[in-house]
Amino acid sequence: MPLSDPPDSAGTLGFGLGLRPDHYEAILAQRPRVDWFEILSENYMVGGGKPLQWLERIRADYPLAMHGVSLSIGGSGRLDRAYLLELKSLAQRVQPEWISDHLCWTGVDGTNLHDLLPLPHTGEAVRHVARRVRQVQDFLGQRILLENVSSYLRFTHGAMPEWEFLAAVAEEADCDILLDVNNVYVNSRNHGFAPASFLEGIPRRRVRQIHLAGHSRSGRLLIDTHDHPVPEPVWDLYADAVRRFGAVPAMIERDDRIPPLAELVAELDRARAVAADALRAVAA
Amino acid sequence: MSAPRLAQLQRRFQAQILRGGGDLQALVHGDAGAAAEVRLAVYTQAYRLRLLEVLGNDYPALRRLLGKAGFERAGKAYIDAHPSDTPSVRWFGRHLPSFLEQRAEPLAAELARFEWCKGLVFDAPDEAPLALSVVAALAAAQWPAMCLLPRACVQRLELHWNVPALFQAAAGGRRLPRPRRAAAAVHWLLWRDGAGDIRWRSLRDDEAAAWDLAARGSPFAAVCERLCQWVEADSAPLHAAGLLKGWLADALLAGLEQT
Repeated sequence: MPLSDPPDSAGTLGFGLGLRPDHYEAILAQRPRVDWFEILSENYMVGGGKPLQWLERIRADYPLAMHGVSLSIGGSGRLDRAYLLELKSLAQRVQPEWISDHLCWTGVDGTNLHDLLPLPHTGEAVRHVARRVRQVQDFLGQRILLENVSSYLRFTHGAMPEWEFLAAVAEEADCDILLDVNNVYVNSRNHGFAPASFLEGIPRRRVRQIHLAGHSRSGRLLIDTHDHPVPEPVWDLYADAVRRFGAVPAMIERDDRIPPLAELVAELDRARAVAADALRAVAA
Repeated sequence: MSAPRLAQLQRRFQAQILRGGGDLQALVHGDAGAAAEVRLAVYTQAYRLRLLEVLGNDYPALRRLLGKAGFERAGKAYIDAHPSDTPSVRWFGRHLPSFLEQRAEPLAAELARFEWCKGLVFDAPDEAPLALSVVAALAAAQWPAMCLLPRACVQRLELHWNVPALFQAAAGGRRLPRPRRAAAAVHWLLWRDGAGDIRWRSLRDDEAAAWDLAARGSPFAAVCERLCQWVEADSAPLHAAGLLKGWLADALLAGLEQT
């Protein structure tokens, strides 16, 4: 089945925020300088009530992207057809710019661990994931985006670095990439690689969206907690990413210690400025 | 150790997260940054912490009632007994009321049941409330065979303990009232009003019996007959009409159906 490109394949969508219930009222009252919002798909896979009412009111004024955490694209069990039906139904309702999830697995044999668990970077996993991505894309009738996840371990039988694994999946599945710059940074510190190698290993034409976020430290490991502002090293890496991938739609994720909306909007202005500087540097 | 196939690796990883033990660390890179055991522990520890947080969000009043340590004890036992089997974490805590019941914690179980029902009311499918004008337009002859259709957001509960008062105090950040157990169960209705806000109120025995019968699809004539246990037969239709008026005012009904 031929797959459609996401509507914003030209990268014009701009700068977005993760839509969180804490900000519903402020968004509608203030109409902030946010170009689009990313929703957590599972939060709106419900029958009705206020969450969907808020969503529809915000959808009337802002483009939305759908971001899921439960596809378990790397799981070795069967794809969850009921989940896919709900995802498709939500997409029909929301008409998102694109649909994304994570390059990970979340459980097997009917259990869901509600975590983004790491895959071994093997040829077997590339083929397995790519086959499932194609099934999902055929079902949804559109190309999806897969996000690189933060990880705290690597398997000894991994046969390739993470960026090669991600690129191989994207190419073999013909899917796009949601590049999480914070996750690249976290993994570079946790696993000891140069983040520039990661960026250089990702095919330019596959990156449709960028995530920015903060992290925290636990012992000698960095943990992807989304509970802090974007830190300086991640801003630096974002500038590198813009120089390599261009004006890709970018957004800031915040899931804990959520500040007032104005603070996130100001942080988003910094993303705009960093991207503009990086693009000017490329043009020069 | 030879490299496992993907399915085997995932089963072992999952088993180690759920039950501990295992030997997956032999397949994990350890280095000066962190040993393999430390790296694996990020996942095994995060599992229970994350689900405890989910339970805390779904059951805030129960957490107040049990206290932090008590809630963690009950929550961890629940997490071990009921691994999540749904893609959305929204449904993970649905067995907690019955789990607490089985642990012979009747007050905690009832409070949990009340909070879970509130959640079901919160995001139940939307249905416009039945308008009074639709009911008023019915001819008298149509009434005996008429069935009432409750809105999907309506939940019924039987509670022995004063859990709505406990919940309200917890929600308002006030000191919890002393738990009290009534000799007989009190009937409660929970629903979403026309503005989408969650409401609840208690019912007398006659209203509870009439509602339960109507909600099961019995025609209005059967509801009137049931009310004869509390009022004279001649007064039953009028009494039923009074109850119906209240249900319409509370936005409990979605429609009517002729049998």
